[in-house]
Amino acid sequence: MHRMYKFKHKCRKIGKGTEDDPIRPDLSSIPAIAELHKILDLLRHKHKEITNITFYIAQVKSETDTEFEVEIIVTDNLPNNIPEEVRKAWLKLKQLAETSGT
Amino acid sequence: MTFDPISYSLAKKKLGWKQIKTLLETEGSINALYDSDKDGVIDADKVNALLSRLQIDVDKDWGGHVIKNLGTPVDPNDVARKTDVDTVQQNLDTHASLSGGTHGVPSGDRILHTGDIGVANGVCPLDANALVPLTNIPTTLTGISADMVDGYHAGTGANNVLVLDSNGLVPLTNIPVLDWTKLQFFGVRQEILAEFSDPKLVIATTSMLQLLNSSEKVEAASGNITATSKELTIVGGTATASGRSWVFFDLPDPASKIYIRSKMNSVNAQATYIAFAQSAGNIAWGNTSFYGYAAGLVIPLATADFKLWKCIGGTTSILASEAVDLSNNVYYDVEIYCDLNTIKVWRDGVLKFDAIGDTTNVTEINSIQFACYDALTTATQTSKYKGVVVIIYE
Repeated sequence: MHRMYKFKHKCRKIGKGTEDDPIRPDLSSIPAIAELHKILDLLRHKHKEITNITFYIAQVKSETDTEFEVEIIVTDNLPNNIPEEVRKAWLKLKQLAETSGT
Repeated sequence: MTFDPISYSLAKKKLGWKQIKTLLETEGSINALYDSDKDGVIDADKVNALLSRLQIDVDKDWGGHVIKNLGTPVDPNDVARKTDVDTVQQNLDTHASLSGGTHGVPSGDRILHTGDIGVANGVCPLDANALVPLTNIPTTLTGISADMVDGYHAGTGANNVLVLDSNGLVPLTNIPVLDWTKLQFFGVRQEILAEFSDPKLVIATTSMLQLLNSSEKVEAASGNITATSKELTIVGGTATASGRSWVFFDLPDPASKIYIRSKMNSVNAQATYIAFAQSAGNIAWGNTSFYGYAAGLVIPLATADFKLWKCIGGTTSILASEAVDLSNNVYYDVEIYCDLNTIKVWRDGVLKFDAIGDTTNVTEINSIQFACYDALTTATQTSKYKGVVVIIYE
């Protein structure tokens, strides 16, 4: 994975801190990510899961009591056989990284 | 009495003396043309002296006399004058004294000709690259100091070409203290190995029997953890209860750096993870005494199956996640490096996470766990591990 497209975003903390519900950044506050996961979840339910393809990586850079500053690193390209609706959602995330990222 | 050629010629005609006298008296005027004083000698000025009328019919011995004042020779058979010969000699003398240039002759009293090339005592022809052909170099350079090739002497000192000892081995004194960070150690990422200055090896094996026998374990139910030489199998809970099982290593000394590598397989587990913690190895993830991190697989979740967590005093949070759908029953090669400040995680050789450590709550690493978390109460969930497994710390 080439880390060409990345940006930082502040997300509120969600989760109870248990193993099954860990404290985590609310990535759904980033619309492009929320849309991408919505499509991927639909595919999973249809047993059309796209395996071993990394769409992005999110990692915490800093935190306060209430929020995380998260770095989103978007994969620079996807294979040709990715469904079009997934590609479109991923492209929105990539464009977000290109326009607001570092 | 001098010889009188006229009288002689008249006598040869067998004339009588009177007849001769008459002739002399009548023709004397004519003869007087040649001998005006009638002394019997032809006057010198009456002899025609033109050389053009002289016919050379015999080799002439000049008797040591000199032919003087010759003209410049023109034709091939003209006689050369002394001045011409002197000029040639002068040129020869000059030529003989030269040792270079167009007319020079190198020392050795020999002028090169084509028959001298590539023969004994001749000269060596260069090849197309203006180099001496190898075939013209003797196999044995007799009389040449071979140790001076490239200007370096053979020996064991500085800038020498190394001479082996009497056993044909490199002398020990010529082996430097190796910078081990430049070396490869099997199973360990080279750039990570270079991060260590004095690493300690916990284990490096592909035998999961060796791993199990070298570690301690915590089982949710007896018999949950088994191993073959190929695989370590960990069942998290039981068929009727969720739970967690793991093998662990407690480090002999607290570590500030640690590198862990293993292949992990979430057969059907809720979580398959490798934890590295400040707390002791027998303390479970999620326990209020647990302080540390873990990286691993969470296949059942939405598209975020590879994660890095931290657990501080029993509170779990996610430090990083990879938006990827991974598969059950597939081994993934996972590497972890932590120097307390940063945590790097690779999956299948690709760096996925480069996260910031919690140096407030985790100030040293004391244990490593290979675990399976079973969230189900209706069936068992299983994780597997296999080699190469490497654990290094310092």
